[in-house]
Amino acid sequence: MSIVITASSMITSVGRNVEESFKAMCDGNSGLKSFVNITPSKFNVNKAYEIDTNIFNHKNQASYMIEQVLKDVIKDMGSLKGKKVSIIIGTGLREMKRLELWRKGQDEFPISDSFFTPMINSITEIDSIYTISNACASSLYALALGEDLITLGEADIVIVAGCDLISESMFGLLDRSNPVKPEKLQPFDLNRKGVLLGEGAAAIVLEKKCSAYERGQQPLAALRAVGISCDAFHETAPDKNGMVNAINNAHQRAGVSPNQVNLIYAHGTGTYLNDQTEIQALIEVFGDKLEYIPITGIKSIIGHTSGASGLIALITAIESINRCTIPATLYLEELMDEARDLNIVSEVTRENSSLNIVQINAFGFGGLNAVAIIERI
Amino acid sequence: MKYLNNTPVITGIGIMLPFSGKKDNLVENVKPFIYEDFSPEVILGKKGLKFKDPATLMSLCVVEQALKDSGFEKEKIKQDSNNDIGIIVSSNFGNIDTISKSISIISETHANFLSAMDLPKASSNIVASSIAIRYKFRGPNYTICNGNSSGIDAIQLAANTIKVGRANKMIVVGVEPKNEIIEQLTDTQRIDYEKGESNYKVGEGAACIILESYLSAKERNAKIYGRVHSYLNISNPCDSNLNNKISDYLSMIKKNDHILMYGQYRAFSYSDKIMETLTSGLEKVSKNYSLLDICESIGDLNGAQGVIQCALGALELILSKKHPLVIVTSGGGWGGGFSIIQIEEEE
Repeated sequence: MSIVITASSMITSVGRNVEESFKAMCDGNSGLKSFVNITPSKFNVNKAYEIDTNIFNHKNQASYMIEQVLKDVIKDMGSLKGKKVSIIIGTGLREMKRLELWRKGQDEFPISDSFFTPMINSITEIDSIYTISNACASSLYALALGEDLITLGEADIVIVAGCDLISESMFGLLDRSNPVKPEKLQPFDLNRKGVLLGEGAAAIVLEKKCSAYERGQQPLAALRAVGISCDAFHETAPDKNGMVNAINNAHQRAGVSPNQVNLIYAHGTGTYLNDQTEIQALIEVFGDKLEYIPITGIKSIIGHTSGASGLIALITAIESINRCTIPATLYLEELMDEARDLNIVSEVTRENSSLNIVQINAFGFGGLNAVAIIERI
Repeated sequence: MKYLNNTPVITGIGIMLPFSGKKDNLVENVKPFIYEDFSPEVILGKKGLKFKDPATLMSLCVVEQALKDSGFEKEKIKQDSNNDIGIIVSSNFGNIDTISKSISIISETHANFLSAMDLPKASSNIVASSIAIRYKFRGPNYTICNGNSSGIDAIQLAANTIKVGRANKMIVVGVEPKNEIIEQLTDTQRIDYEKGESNYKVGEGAACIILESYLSAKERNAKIYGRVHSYLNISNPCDSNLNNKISDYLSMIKKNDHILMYGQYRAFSYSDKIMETLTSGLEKVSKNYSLLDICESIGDLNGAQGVIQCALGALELILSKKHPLVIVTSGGGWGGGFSIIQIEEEE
């Protein structure tokens, strides 16, 4: 049974939609800036990848961002008559930013605003709505749930969304916990200093291929599978075996072998531990073949968008497939030792041959791992 | 009906309800699970509990209870091969205390005064991750925060995870703590309660259900409480098609000698309308049904409610001579969705 993606939408610190964001990524335009909405005097690090609210005003509400990306995919969905439709949202930080504003006396926070169901009910009629909070792996875990709903026949169409704004508590705790203060997010760089948070939202529409053609929808790409696992190792530090399990699970469920993968969108958070562990895990799975597979880390461009990061990377991967272009990993000055022989994309790359099978990694706090495999249609 | 190999069945339960109020009005079947003084060390031992928040501690306790209840052998826990055991936690308020404390410190001073030990707790999945780390369960790991239908939604998503082959056991936990922040957030509901217009008051508690594939349960000769089935989620409590959805749902229930339905009354106006429709529909299915509201005495249990009710319902299947069909309902609060699920013994 073939599951396809028939619509996509995203908002990042470099673009208000898929087209703008992808162009900016390929032009090497970074979303990194001095604080827009965060008080500098309270933190050691004063930079992040915030969405400039003068360009796109998210009103400090994750639900507003989700509303925009949902409306964007729903408007092109065509007829849903007779179809069972579900929405699954993955978010690491939920509405914690608004909770923080309420605690500081700067905003109200009715409980009906603390979760997304009431907002979604106000914009569309939907059979079921789920919100999961799975740290940085949230939106790809949501994608796994969506894949399962369609496989089991519990939904005909699933809209999967992801969103996160920067909460000061998470920014502050990362700031407090990292003895080295990063000025930029540098995946796989020898002198990387750590993660910087970003803001973003994304949504895609999933359905069976036959359903898409019946409804006159042109698929953007096929979803081969999502592999998931949990390290069961540490609350924040990653574990190579857990990552390997998720990658192998994805390959096995997708029916692909490592040498069929043409491109990897890495999780690449720019932390010492994640980047080292991720490369070790990829080497274990791919072996010698890894040298020939381009690997890129877009968190250098848009920051770590927490729970939204997996889905944003997936949508970017779809654009890569359909436009034969891979955005570069920014701020790469000197490759870390473990990656010296690897093909970390450091300049925007236009591929002459097709990118057919792409892997997207998402590894979150608490050892949550999700890996998606998509394919050109 | 005969179970298929991947039919999700309940093989273990654990329930913990910290409660220090008057016990006279408590519903009988919650009384064994009331803890006046909650001491996690008694159940978990002293090791590995430092810096853990209340929601995580309650959850670890009920998981420990449920694992013992399910007969899952201790030597098999913490092995490297537990890739097929997953976890799903339902909680809406779980880590609000950590976020609130952190933002207060930042506002009043600087991020340098935060405790680095709070970093894992700032992520809403801390409960699910803590369970995985303690028991080395390496399968799928979810945290669902779906409003107050969340507990039942968690059970259904766990059942799906088993049916689709991602796991053969799922540890399902529902947990909500009680603290001053939650009391403030729910203030408008409290005012309605004081005016006598609502039954709502904040409660706290946790429960765990172990869902397992029928094949896995049979292979290890596990006790089976029953299977979960017939899930319905109504995402909009003001759904114009609500009556038809409920009517269609009830028409699928075969006539039964006794139906036991768990639900919450007079706490949320949206869910009251749905409960009214359900109850009047039940009249046509069976004249012999009971309605049970555990929240009236112990308070609203939000994301934990569905799991606590399912655990109690599963117990009822074993203890009761009436072999009831158990229907569990939850939701409609604050404009959120409403969910229903059934538990039934093997024929």
